[in-house]
Amino acid sequence: MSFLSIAFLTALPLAAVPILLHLFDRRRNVVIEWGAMQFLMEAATRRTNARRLKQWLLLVLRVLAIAALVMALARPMLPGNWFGSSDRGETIFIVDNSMSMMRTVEEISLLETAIERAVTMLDDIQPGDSVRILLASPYPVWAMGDGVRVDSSSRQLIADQLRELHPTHGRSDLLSALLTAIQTEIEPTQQRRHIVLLTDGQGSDWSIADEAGWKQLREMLKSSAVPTELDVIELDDHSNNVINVAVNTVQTSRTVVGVDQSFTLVAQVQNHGRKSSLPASVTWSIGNEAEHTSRVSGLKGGEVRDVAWNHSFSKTGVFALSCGIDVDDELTPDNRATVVVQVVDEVPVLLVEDAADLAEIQQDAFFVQAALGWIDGEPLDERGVFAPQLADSERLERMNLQGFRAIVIPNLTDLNDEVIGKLHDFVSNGGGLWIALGPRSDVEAFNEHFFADGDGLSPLGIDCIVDEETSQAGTQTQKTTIDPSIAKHPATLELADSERLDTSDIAVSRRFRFVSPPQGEDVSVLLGLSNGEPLAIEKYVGRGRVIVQSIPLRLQWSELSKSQAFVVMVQDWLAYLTQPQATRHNLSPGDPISVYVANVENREATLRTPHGDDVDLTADTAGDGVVFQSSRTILPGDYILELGLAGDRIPFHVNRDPQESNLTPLTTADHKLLAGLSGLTSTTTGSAFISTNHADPLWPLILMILIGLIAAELLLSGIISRERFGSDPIAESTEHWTEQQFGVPAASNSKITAFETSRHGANIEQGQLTEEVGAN
Amino acid sequence: MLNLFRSKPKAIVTMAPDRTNEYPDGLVDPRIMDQIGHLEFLSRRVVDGLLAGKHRSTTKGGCCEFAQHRQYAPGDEIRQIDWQVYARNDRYFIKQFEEETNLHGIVAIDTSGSMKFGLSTVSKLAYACQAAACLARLLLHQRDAVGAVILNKNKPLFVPPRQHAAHLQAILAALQSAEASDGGDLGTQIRACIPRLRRRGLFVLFSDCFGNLDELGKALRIVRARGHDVVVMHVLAPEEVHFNFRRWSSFQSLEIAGQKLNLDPAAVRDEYLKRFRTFLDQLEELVTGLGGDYIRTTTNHDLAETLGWFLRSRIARAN
Repeated sequence: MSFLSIAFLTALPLAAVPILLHLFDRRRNVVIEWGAMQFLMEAATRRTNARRLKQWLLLVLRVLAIAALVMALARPMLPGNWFGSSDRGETIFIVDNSMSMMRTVEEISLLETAIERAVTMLDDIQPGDSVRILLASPYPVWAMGDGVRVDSSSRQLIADQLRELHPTHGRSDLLSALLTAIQTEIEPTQQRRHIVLLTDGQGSDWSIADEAGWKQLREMLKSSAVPTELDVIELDDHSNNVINVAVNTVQTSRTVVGVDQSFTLVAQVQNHGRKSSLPASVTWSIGNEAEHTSRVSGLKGGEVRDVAWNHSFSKTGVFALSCGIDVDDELTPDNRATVVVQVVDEVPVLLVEDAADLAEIQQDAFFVQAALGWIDGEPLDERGVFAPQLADSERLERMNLQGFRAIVIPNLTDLNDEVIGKLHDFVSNGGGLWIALGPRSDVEAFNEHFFADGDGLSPLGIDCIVDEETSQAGTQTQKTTIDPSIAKHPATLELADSERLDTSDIAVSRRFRFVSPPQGEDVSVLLGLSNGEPLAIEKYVGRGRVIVQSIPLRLQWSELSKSQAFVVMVQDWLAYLTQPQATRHNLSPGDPISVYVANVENREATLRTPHGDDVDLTADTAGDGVVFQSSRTILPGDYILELGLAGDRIPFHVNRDPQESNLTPLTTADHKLLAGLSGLTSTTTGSAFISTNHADPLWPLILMILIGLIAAELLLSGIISRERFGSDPIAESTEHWTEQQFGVPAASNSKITAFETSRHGANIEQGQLTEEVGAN
Repeated sequence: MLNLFRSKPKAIVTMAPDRTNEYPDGLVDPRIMDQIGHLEFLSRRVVDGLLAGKHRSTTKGGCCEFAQHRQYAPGDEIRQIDWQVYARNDRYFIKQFEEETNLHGIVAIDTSGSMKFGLSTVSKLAYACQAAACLARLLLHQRDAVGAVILNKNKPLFVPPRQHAAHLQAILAALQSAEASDGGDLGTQIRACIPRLRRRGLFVLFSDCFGNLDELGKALRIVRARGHDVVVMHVLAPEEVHFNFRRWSSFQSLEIAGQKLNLDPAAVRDEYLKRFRTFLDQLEELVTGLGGDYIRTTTNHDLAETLGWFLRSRIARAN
């Protein structure tokens, strides 16, 4: 016998409580000085054995009742089939509906095969058993959460429900699905559970590295309240030989671009199979219209290749750009990847200019303006998406910063506390701030206001100005240059391209030195120097980002401003800084969709999911416009937000995990590992079987016995109580006796009572009198 | 449930306080006398007495109420001959009249150990003494002679009947000195005092009558045979009648030292009540069988009501 809650057995000594109370009660005798001992002595000698037997039986019943209650709480299980055959059971079908299940084998997808297999198994399920269906992708979701009792009519209903299951473009988490199925509460009437997992055997879905999870699964199977059988059905074992070429991702240097601004899209194509693939054509399309086609030569097994395409848009809007590869493989959904790009007229940025009265090249913001394609506040022909506006430090205090996405301070001067506070708020709300230190920057003021012991906008304080050329020991002067490879940062990927840009040739003659961060703390570095020290560092403040650079963005202290890389650097870093305020159209599963739409009257919108479901959204007011938000983005794929009656369609894309394209099945070593972790006993394809020991719950029977014991106890105690206190009472006085006899108050019927008693007395009196008279 | 573990404040039940001290004159409660003072304690039998009173006398006089005709015998007074009867029947008959006399009442108090019992009320002895005192005062008030007998195995006490009002103090003193102790047979004690009851009158016994009923019956029959009007006032405690004890208890005898019984009272209640009921029936049958009055009362009853009821019923029967 085993117990599910064995801790309750520690309460078993409580069963002795009735005996202890009985003994305790006997010990606490109350001494009574008694007069009528003669009746008590006689009565005590007449106590029958039957009555004593009843009392002992009552005590035994109480002890047994408490013991039964404790036992029932401990939930004992009896091994074997003590109570005959199990009447009812439950079958849970876990269907792996990940993208890999869309693979076709002999023109039938594995998901369809799995569903037909489940329908076949459904026919073998006994009537009266219940069935549930659990989907494993993208996370365990009940397709039929409430158990449906199988009978002639519901069998077809369950089969229809199975055939309506959709595949997703996501991965599946089979371990979580198994845990979910095992943890599901079972109905009291069901005495066994059968879990059937239908999967393609793809190795990446099994989370083999999660040893703790598999051990937990094993423990839960052992401690399951009912006997649980687990069937793992791997539908195909030919995955080793399949060819699967996939477009893993499409990436772009920036997702917010200007009109007619050229940008590069890079598609990562990978052959996930072992065999080499044939040459194929790659088609770039916007929406559903093909725009560009190129050829990709054959890929070896596992080879990854990037395919690039330059493109520009002539109008504003949000566009979904897809890259599809036309290759004949078994898994087609991953032959296409999408990225969403937002095309805007301009992105407003603010440049702080404190030397406007000097010559152009001595102005603080001149080079930054030039890099953006603007001169003297006027756009040139070749301008970027960023539209700069100039303002000096004093004006900054009075300006409304809400309209700007980023602020650049090319040569930091002293700013008052109010301006610094405004900048702090600006960054906290998602704005970007780029601070370049220069000759007019004051070390103490910076450390006090911008660093503020770690609470300010700067991640580090500054130490002093360092003269790089003179600081070198030795006779030969060695230039200190920028080393873009010192940090791998998304904002400096293009800068690091030393073949196309001269970033690494830019000499720095003077700079501010950052105070080293405390031991154990790390600072995000964007650019470094050849001597290993950081040149530009960043910090996240609220929703926004701050970049602090130790040289000015002007022709001073370095050759940065006149280098080729400067234009790329300004464009890329501003793109990076303005990202937080831009709408995110490319999401990971579960990331919320949040769109700000200005001047919209209709506050209703519909979000169409990859499965074609429509989700109605209601907007929240935010400033002049409204914000539509939704978190129903768990499914990878294309989402469309349709706004009101105007029919504006905003595309979104939730990226799929490229790992799902890897169709490598579980290896023999993986099966062995799973066997060791979770008790998977058989790894042959088609059926894996785990079974717990068959044990029947005993506590329902004990509870019934408990009810019987309580009923018997009540009955017996009632009988004993009746025997103890059920005797007819004795009239306390003659007065009461007469009242009861005649039903009238004694005072008023004294004559009647007197008459009744006096007749007897009168007769005697008469006789006595006669006797006495006779004597006389 | 908590009551199971709560310790009893007192393990030994002490005797109930004697409430007689509440009264200025000890035993005679003015409240009771107010209620029974207007009543009369009439003898249901003819009694011997020297003075004219409320009770029928054994002496046939010529004063008040016609009693009977009796055939003339030599020696009878000529003036008592009913000449009208002689005229009708030609025979001499004497006309006899009832004469009223005063009563000699004896209140007998049983002071055996069992009379000490009183758990939720006053002790039976205290209750009996109070009742006896009230009756004594009532009898003296109606110009009857009252005496008292304290029935005790070792210290019996007899106060002879007197008719004057000052005699009440002697009776009250005797009653107050009564202490319940020892055992002894009640019948034997009654028989011991019978020779002192010289004139026929009223014999009122206050007792719980525990003990040998046969002996008690014999003694009462003798009393009755000597022409006394017998009244047995059976004084009991409510606990003795109901026996509603629930906890395990140790019963210690009030009469026999060292006699002790540990038991679960509820378990023997049925048997106890059966025996007690039989005892009560036997006693009642015994007393009524010999022509006496049987009054059962418990100490939780109002004495005034009990005595009032008894006196009213007696008056009713006397009429």
